[in-house]
Amino acid sequence: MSIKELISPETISLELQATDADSAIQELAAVLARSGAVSDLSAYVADVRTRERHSTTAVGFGVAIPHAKSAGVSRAAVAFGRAKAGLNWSSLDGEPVHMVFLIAAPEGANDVHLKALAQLARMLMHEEVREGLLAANTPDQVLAALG
Amino acid sequence: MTKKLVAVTACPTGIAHTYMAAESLSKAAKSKGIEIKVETRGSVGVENELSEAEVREAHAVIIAADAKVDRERFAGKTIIEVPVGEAIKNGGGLIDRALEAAPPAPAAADLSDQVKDIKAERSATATGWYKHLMTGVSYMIPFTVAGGILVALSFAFGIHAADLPNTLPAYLMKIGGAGALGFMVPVLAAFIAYSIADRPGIVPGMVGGYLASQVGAGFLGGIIAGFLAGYLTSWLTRVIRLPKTMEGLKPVFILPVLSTLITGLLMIYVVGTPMAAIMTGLQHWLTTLGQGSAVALGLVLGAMMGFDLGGPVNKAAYTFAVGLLGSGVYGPQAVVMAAGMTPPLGLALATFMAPRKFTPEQREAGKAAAVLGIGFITEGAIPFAAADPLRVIPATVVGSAIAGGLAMLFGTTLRAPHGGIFVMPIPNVVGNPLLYIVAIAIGTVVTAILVTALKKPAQQ
Repeated sequence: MSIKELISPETISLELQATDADSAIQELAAVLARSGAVSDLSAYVADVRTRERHSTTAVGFGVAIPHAKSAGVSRAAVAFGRAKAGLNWSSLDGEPVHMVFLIAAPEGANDVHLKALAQLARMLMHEEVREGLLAANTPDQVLAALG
Repeated sequence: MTKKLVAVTACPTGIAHTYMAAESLSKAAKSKGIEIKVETRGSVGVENELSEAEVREAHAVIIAADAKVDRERFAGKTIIEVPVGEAIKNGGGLIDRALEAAPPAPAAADLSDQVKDIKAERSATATGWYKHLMTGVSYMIPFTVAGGILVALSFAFGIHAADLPNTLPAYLMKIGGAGALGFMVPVLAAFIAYSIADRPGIVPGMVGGYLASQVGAGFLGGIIAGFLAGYLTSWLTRVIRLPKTMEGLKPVFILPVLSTLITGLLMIYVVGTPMAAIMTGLQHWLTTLGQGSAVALGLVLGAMMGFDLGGPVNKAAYTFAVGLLGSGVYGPQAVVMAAGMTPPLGLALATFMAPRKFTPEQREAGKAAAVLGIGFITEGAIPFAAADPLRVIPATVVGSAIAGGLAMLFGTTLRAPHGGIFVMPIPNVVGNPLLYIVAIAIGTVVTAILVTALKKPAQQ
């Protein structure tokens, strides 16, 4: 399975309204709820926040990957949101976050999905992928940047 | 010689950080021309696992984890331990630190002991095919329990009570036997396939498991069906590429039809056809053997009963013995019933003797196995044999062979085709009932002792 089966143009938001971590999580979680991947929005958001409190998922390089395995998720999915101005997020390198991948995995998610998510995490460590994501003008270009 | 490094990455959820840290370290090492192997311990399980040799050869070990990582396997190595975020942020810096680290202290004297412990621990770790098998078994166990208890309830009305149509005992037998027990192998196969290929695996797995029962391939055939359906479906999922407009057809139409068709045909032609040949061949061989020593025949028939627990070898022995009833030869029938009772009885006893070697759900299945065992329903042993075939099957084979050999040695006979312990009080059905019970008891104890000796402690 490729990551493209988890992310679709409908779950990509090129310009987030949010200005901080928590509102970005809520905004993208709502996108996932609309797409049908998240069935219980408040339960899912609560699980993401719990994970976020444990340690920040803003891993540096302007990237954050909030995520949770949650009973509020009906199928594995990923939402992508971009914030040109940068989000206020306590990141590992102290820099603002420009790209957010919100990951939703159901309880008992299977290996196929988890491997796809692992693959996404690895891709984000490469500068050319991040540059492609920042430069994208359409959701399809975002998908193209993901290989 | 360039220095080699090894690393382990892990994080609490195991979805993202583990892999980002691994990628960061690999990338940094590559740019410095250093060889590194990174083991990831994420929610998919352990990937790219470090071997003992690799750890031994490594200059230093980097552990980048926010979750617990066992340090014992790196005894005697220089360990650099940091939060997982550190590896993501600064992979290059970590590599430098590891390279500059002091050479490892002299190895501790008890290193080989520790390595042994680690080996044992690791072989018990559920990964890959073992995980798929255990998924199938854990879904199957409730069927065994429900079926076993309901069949026993039917027997409680009298061993032949279920033969009267449209009575409660007959219905109980139908619900428990044809119903719950009948689904054991299909469910086993369905959830092995589910573990491999997610939801699309269920249909071909369940149909393949059903066919395994139908063609007489037993639970071993069901395991084959499950893996076949799972890997086939996950392969089909990958290779079938459709234009976007037709993509919706894939999960609801194309995948289920194709995967089920292919699995089904393979089960019938490739697995099923040889099964029939094996059964005929074995029965022919038993006929020639029947002219020789009675005890030897008892041992062989017994071993066959304990081997595949309802599969072709077991069925060949049973059919052979039932066939002889018609000719007025009652010894072999006593053998197959005794040897068919000892696997579930022995495993049930083992769950009481060594509870630590079984998972909590297996201990529940042990109680059902006891009930099924006294009713001569060998299938009660399947949840145990399917979970750990290489250790359980040798035990059931030896235990059954001993029960069978003793049954012949004691000159016991049986005139009923089925019934377990419930036929024993009926006059003139069992010849030499006391010694018959002794044979079954010894076979049961032998099975239990062997299982206990061979099995490793269960993982919680």
